[in-house]
Amino acid sequence: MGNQPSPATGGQPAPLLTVTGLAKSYRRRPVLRDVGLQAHPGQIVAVTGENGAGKTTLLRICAGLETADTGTVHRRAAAGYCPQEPALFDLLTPAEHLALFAGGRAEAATEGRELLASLGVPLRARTLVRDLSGGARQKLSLALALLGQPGLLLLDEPYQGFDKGSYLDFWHHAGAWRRQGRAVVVVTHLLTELDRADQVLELRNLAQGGPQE
Amino acid sequence: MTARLAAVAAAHAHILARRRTAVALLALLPLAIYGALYRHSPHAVTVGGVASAFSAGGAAIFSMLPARAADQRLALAGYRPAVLITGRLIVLEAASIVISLITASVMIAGTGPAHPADVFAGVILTGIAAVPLGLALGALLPRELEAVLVLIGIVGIQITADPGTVISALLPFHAASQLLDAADGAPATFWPRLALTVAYSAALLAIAWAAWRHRAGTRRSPGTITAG
Repeated sequence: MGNQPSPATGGQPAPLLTVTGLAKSYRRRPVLRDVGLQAHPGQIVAVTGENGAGKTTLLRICAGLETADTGTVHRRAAAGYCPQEPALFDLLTPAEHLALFAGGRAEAATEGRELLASLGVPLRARTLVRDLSGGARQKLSLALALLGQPGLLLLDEPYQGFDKGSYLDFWHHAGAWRRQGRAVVVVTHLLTELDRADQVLELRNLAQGGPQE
Repeated sequence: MTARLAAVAAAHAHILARRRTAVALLALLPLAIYGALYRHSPHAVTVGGVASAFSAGGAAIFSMLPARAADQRLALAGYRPAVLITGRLIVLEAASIVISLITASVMIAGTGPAHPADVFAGVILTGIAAVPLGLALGALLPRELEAVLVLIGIVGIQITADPGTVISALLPFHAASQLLDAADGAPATFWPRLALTVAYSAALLAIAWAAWRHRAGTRRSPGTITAG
């Protein structure tokens, strides 16, 4: 595979995310080696693997939060990133988070309120994030990643803390995002979810030797 | 840019307003130090005034360090590190001026210095420099503990060092402490000290910006191409 993303071929649209030959080490400890990935519009790509295999690192590089040592990342759409830990402000309310992440744009804040309602996050005016349940925080975090309707979603175990109903709702939403033509890259530990994905990228822990993919 | 700056400032104003107990404790700290000295030491006003750096600097540290991961998300949402820093700066400097006015008023009432305006000026200049110092420490150091220890060290050395020494002149509250010393002695000129404090603060802000750009900003791999 070359360094340029594949152009649209046949009836398949060009990928929204193309990762080629990605490598990353932390203090000489390799975490990713020659990793490649393509996510096309309307596709769900599951990234799986054991602890320390580099799943979170791969997503952070794709999101633009870390640099790779070698390799290329080509994004053809705006990306929404939902980290493993919610990364929110404990002393702000969900509505204040929406206002902040919307950057003062009223229409984006309205869109965010609709997102929160669709994900089942309580929007009580005075409830601070620190007083929300773990699941509600994660839903808020997910809603912030969806703000602005990005074409590419990079979701790192986005349903941690969800109850069963919320978890099933998440996959219902993921189906809707797929139908909207978005590309969804989701990190998961759960083998049962792999059936829901169009493509599975399994990473292996390089500390244990052998090829990574 | 302006809307984003306003959004960051509004968020940090909310956060600061909800940390009422911590803000009250930070505001009381310099007054407690002044209160312990004012009957016994001729330097009570200088010590109390420079100790107000604990308030503004501490508030700045605690606005930066717990927000590193959230700020990374804001950077992905299009916020520049300069906007994230400036939004905090606006809110914290405003809070610092309020705390400075209270601190200076209490010290003037307690000590009755010959030049009360120098007390106001000295405490306000302390706050002006302490906020960027706290922002820089919060951006540079990995945890609150380390940042607070460095703040305590800098303020402690500034308080205890003789104003005529090189070490005192190199620290960020030197100009402010000269004004505070002048409150009961020979008058000191204000404008050169304001200029020195503003220059020092600008340098500290540049450090905070560079460090936050590295820690909380977005990064592109060498081969990254984005078209979205």
